[in-house]
Amino acid sequence: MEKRGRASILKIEDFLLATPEKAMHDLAAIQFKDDLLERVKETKISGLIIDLGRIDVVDSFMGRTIGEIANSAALLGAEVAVIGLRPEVAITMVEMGISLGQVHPLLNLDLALEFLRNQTRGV
Amino acid sequence: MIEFPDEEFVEVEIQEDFDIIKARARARVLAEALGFGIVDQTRIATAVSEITRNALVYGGGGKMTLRTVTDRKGLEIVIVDQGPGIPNVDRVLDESYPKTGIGLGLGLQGAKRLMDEFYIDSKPGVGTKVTMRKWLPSESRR
Repeated sequence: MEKRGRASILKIEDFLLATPEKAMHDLAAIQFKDDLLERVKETKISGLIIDLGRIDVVDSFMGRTIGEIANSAALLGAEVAVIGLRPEVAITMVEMGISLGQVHPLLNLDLALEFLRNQTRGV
Repeated sequence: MIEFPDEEFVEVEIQEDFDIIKARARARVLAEALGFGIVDQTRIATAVSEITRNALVYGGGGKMTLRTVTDRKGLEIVIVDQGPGIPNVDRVLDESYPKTGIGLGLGLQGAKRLMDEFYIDSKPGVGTKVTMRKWLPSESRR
C-alpha cells in the first residue's frame, strides 16, 4: 500500500523546490498548499519549482490545488515552474480538461532553474 | 502473455480521504494485472479518484466494487453512495451546460471522458450509483 502523502521543500539558489510524495490525499494536498505558500512568504523567494515526478494521478482536485498554489504564489511575487509531469498524467489531464493555471511547464530541474533565473534577473 | 483472470472481485469502503488513494491504487493494480497499459491505468485510477471523491464529499461515503468482465475483456468499476443523489444528472454530464463552480461537473465529465462506458443512476434521497467500464484495447497488445 502506498504511504500517506507528504512533501519535501528545499531551497535552491533563490528558489524553492517542492516535491510532493506519490500518494497525496486531499487533506495532505491542502496542507502542502498552505505550507508551501507560507514558505514562499517567509523566504521571499522569487521562484517556485514544483516537481510532480512522483505524482501518478492528477485529478480535478489535485489540479485545482496546484493551480491555487501557482496563482497564490504569483500574487506573492513568485514565478512558478512545474517539472517532472509524467506523460500518462499529462495525457489524462488534457483529456479531462484540467489545466494548472499560471504555471510554466518545463522538462526538468536544469531548465526550470534557467527559466527562473532569466525571469527573475530583471530587465 | 498472462492469462486473463476468470473473475476478480475487489471491494473498497470509502469513508475517509485516504480511502480515495486506496481505491485508485487497487484499481490501478487490477488494471495492470489485466494487461492495461500505463496510460489506461492512469485514466482508470484518475476516474476512480474523481468518482470516489464525489461519493465521499457529496454522498457522505460509499463503496467501490471492482470486477473483471470476462466475455469482453475489461474492468468494471461500480461506486455507490447513500447520499442525497444528484438532481439533473443529464445536465451535470452535459458539457455545453455552464458549470456551477462546485466541481462536481468537471469531475463527472472528466471521468466519463476517460472511460469507455459511463452510467449514473441517481435517485434523490436514495443515493447514487456510478458504473464505469474500460475495455482492453486488444488481447495481443501488452
